[in-house]
Amino acid sequence: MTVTASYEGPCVFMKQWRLALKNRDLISGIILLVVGAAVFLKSLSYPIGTFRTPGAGLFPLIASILLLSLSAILTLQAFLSRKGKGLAPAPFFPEKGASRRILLGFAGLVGYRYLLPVVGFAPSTGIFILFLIKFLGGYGWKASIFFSVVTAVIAYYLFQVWLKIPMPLPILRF
Amino acid sequence: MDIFSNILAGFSIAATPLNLILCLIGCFVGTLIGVLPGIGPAATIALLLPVTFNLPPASAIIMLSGIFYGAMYGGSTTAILVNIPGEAAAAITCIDGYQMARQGRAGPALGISAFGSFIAGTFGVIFLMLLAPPIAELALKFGPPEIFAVMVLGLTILSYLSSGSLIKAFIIALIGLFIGMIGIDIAGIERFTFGIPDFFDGIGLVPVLMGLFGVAEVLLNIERVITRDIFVTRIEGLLPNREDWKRSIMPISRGTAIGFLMGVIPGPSNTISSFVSYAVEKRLSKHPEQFGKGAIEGVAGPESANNAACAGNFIPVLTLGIPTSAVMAVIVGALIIHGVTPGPLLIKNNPDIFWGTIASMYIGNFMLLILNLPLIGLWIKVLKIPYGILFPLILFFCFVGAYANNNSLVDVNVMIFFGLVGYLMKKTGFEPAPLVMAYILCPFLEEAFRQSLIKSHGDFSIFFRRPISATILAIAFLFVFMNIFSGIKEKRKRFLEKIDED
Repeated sequence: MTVTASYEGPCVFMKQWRLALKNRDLISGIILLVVGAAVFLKSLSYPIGTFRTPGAGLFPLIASILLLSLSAILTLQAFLSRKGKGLAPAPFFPEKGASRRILLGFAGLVGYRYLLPVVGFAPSTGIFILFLIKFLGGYGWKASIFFSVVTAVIAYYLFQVWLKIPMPLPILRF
Repeated sequence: MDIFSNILAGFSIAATPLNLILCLIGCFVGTLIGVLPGIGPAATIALLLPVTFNLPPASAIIMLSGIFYGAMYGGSTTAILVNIPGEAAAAITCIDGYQMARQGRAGPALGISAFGSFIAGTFGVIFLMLLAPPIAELALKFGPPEIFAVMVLGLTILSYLSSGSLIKAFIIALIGLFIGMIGIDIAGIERFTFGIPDFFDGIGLVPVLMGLFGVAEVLLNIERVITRDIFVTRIEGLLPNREDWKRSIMPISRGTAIGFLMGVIPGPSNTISSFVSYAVEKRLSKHPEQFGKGAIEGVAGPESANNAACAGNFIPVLTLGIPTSAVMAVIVGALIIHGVTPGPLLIKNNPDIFWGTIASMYIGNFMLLILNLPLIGLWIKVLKIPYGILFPLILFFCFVGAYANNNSLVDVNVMIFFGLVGYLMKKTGFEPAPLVMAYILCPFLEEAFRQSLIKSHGDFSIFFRRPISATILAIAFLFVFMNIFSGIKEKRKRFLEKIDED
């Protein structure tokens, strides 16, 4: 029996841990408590003033106290309902491959943001559109290249030539 | 007679060739983005804001408001034909509109929604024209405590109406307040800026909107492998028949009243008023069992309500200077950029803007009727653009929109950040609307709060001793208690879930 008990120990812990991870309210509650605490501490560093002459810190201080109390309620509710049955909500990702697709879309945006100052507006736009249409839009190379080139050219004339939006000058010049 | 001469002066402004063209462009763009799911009027208006910098202020507002009410027309087309709300406000139209389309009655459904929108839009503008000047007079008597109370009421109602728990809605509104506090406060003290110079003026509205509504929406959509089947139907006979009219005329009238009244209240009133209108029509109907199976009342009422709400939305901006929705916040931003102070004095000081915009709305509603009925074929073609091509373009427009407002890549970072935050919020059951409203209202709210305290020498009872602010705050508390003690919220939630399933 002792063998099984020692075997079950970490397993139960893992199970609890996995359950806790699935309890999104619990996690969001804890994150919000941290945010509230951070704002609370930061507000103290600003002049609070008095109620008669409220300073910059008063309003954030009151708001952060409200946030701390409400998130505490949320966390507590989530913690108490931990053992309840209605625990299995809709899965975080609706289908297989969703996490990969989200990551691709997000990477595309970040990549575009950092490519723009390096290669310039039109080329980075073309690469961004090509990337998304090819890898997320489900099109072949030919169609993807066609759409991305057309978009880049139109975008260049519309935003840079016609609307004269000052884009960062590319580090790499061709 | 006064109004008559004012509105004539308004028409003389709205009918100049430049303003007519801008109004048409606004209506056209509005319909376009209304038809396209995933990009909303707030983001579009923000995107086109820089284009209006060189225009006179009245022309700028004429075009931007055209986008707003145009989007309400366009949103219903997508709802009826594809069963996807092109605009959040058209979500409820999907239910009966799509059923009508499946029964081969897409024509009358599109027709009644365009006519209903036209009637409601026109009457909404009439109400706006008649009510805004007296309310502005009254608002001049409002002190900081009253303004504070109005905003608290608005945020409470919005939190009460958003789906999900009230605690979560309040929490996310508080987060919105913190975001609104970033920057230099009224006393000149720098707060929560992380030492980043770009944040000294506060976090830009446009990147936040683009992130929460544009990027987050796209991220949610690309989770699934992209397929979208369009229900292809032949659209014949856009004109509703006599029976349709007979059944629709009361829903349209009621929708107009509901929409306008809800429009005045802070929050995404276009969406909420269409839900309320649907619920009212279903309750009053002699044959409620037809709802959900293609009842024309379920299209006529909500579509009228969301258009009347557009007009109602302008009231708080024009009378109190407080934006009550994301769209209005961008419009307030546009006014300020053009050197116009929104508030009770706007009608007196800038009659050309007020009356010119009102007159242009009459013209715009008429243009939209023409754009939406004879040109329906064009919008169906737009609808057939596959999402695989559309979503990169939406992301691209968000990107450029966020960048172009200040020509700042920091703003792009902000947009990407809020895109991720918005996505995670949806996943954890937090609604973006209270966050955005609180963020927009934060500077106004804090100023009113601090001024009230200074005025009362630090006595908090000032909010409860003045009759108007006491009444308004009492209503706000009532909403909180109603939520705790009744099952209305639960019912509404189930109602929403049922819609999601269908």
